[in-house]
Amino acid sequence: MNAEATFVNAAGFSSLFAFWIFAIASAFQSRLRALGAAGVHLLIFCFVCISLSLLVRALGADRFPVANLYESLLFFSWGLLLAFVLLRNQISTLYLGCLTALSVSLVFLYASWLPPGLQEVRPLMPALVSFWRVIHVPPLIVSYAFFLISGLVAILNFWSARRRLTAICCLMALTLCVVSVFLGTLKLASAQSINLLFWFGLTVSLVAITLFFHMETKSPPVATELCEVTDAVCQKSITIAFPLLTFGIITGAFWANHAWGAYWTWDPKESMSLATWLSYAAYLHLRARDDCRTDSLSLCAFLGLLLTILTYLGFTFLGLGGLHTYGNLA
Amino acid sequence: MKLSKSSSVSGYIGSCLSSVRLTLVLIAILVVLSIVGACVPQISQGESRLLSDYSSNQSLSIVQALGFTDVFGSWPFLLCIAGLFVNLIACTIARMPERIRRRLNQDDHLASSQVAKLRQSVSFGLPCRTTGVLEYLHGYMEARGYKVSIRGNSAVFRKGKAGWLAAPLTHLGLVVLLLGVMISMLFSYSGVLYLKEGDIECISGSLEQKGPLAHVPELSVKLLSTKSESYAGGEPKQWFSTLAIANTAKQLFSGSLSVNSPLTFDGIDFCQSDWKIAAIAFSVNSRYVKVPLSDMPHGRMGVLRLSDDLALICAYAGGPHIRVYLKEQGATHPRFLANLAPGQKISNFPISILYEKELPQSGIKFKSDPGLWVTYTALLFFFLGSILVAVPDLKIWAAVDPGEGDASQCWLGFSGVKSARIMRDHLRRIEQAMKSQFYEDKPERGVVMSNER
Repeated sequence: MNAEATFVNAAGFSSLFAFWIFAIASAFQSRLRALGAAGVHLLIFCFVCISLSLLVRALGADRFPVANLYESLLFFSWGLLLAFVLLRNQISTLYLGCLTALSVSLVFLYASWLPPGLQEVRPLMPALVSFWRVIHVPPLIVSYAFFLISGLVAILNFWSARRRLTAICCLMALTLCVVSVFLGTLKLASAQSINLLFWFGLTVSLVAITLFFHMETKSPPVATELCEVTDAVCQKSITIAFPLLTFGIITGAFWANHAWGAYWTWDPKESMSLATWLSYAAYLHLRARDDCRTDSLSLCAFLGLLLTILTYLGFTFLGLGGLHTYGNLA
Repeated sequence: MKLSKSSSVSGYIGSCLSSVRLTLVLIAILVVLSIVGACVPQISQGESRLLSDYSSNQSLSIVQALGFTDVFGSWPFLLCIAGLFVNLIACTIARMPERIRRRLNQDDHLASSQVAKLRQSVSFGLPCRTTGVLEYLHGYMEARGYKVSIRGNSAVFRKGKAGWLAAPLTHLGLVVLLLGVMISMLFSYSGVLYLKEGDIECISGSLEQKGPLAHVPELSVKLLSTKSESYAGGEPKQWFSTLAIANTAKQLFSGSLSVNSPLTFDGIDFCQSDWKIAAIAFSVNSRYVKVPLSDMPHGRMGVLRLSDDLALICAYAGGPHIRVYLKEQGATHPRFLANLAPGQKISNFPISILYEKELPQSGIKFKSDPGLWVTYTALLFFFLGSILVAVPDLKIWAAVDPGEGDASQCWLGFSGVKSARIMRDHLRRIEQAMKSQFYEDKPERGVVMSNER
């Protein structure tokens, strides 16, 4: 087994162990604080392992390792762990650790399911042979990782604010979208069924919005301490990710003009990145309104997460095409 | 009476136009339209994409009738952009003068009655003289990175003052972006040249888009040479072209370009956007013929009719070889003849066929856009603005009024909305710290007031 595979496996297993440790520690919060600390150390070990695996891959490939889906997923999990390292002092570490470890484990599971051909180091196509790749891609992937954390924390915010139905619908919508991306990547179902599943997921998110505005507003949200903490983490996460997304979109425009002679072509992925950017701009505007409640902000962050998933993976695997389908298995 | 009614109506319209609520509604509509535009194939992606995505002409015509195939050029999208622009201008007019005035007047000390009227304020009594309270506040706030200014019985504490520029810079970026796009729409032109080696084409004859005020020079482009570089496994690595640019009289310029390395001449950018083997050259019975190739699912294919009942089919899937088949009339499948490299010949056949060479075609995109640097400046503003979103813009006012004996009444407050939650926490912490400092074990006597506007 080569060094890169060893580091990746070590990172995958440590994230899985960390998830169980955090889950058990969350169930017995006050009594098992030491267990939570062990989980933190495991996640930091996982972070080091992913960093080393990326380094080994970069040295082996003689280029920055963000050129295909597998590499971008490795980098995405690195971004998730970076988010955990930067945000963990702001929240009950157990919850954030639990969410991060679960997300990283799922990302590793997804990456390990990719065909071996896609996990190998492949030569770059002419359009990707550019210094712009190193400038444009990493900030975007790291921003997606921070947005994922903010979205998950937003669901936690609903739960802690006793908006249980909204939280369950959001979780269902997220699960459906993620499952459809999994199925679409591995081509386990027809393109039509996968599309239907994804759009059904988005419909469930509309149900969550309806519940939020009509049924659950009859009783005012409960402002627990966890609510305030999750809101603060969500804000910090988006505040970090938003400039990264902006930078990624701008450098993408520079690169497109350099390579194709047009900085904006309304390619599906470009359009979706605009929609994602606008949704987080809406979050920031909403935040500027002092009368806005934390649960309204959480709803905005959650919808932003769905758009982020659609931007990052949706377009490649829902068959919507465009110029950015570098990770497509076809 | 009439005047007051009309002024109240205009005030209402003004407050609607400059409201954050309108911004949110417009952004929400733009998000929905962008999703539709991203998911439904657009006319800008080419008609072939539209036709391939819709199985029937009927469904395509329904989608077209709904305006879903040109979302980004449709009136709802453009109306939203215009609305956002108006909203932005209205916000700037309504709020910017006040913000600039406050910025210019950094040491705008407020009396306790004015602090009490701020967006959020807190008041509490302390068993200490005003000088002692202000001294403590000075040390406490300075230790937390605040810049302190004390005048008389009032004080101003500031931190992260660059943060206030976040919204103005981002909004300025949007205005400059619209300006840049407008210049591009009026003055830019672009097109694609598909050239084989030795081909000459005029820029003005290959335009895809031209602004109403654009001046297109009479230039011709000649492809001097083109080549493809491949990895060891045969995957394409890079495409190169060498161009000569001339006007009607003489050659003006020549240079090379490749993917991600454009060539610029006289404000016109030439980009290597495409490269493919367009045709195969054969010698059939010593006669030179070109067989154009067409795109197929797994490569490219060309057909050469040799006689009434015989056709030669060549298939190209990258690499140095082509596969040659013979199709006889009446036969269900073509017969595979050979894998040929350039210079190789099929000799066991009545007609002599020599594979001469492949004929590459280079796709060169050209563009002249005087608005590009304005757009880039706008993007820079966006980026700076988005970074400054993370920088809190904190300004706290304090006023201490002398009370009875050694007691005093302290007022703390802030205005602004960007960091309202952070500021509320700060006020709470400052209040707690002061009470624990001055009261020791005495009971607390604080009053919190909120003046939400």
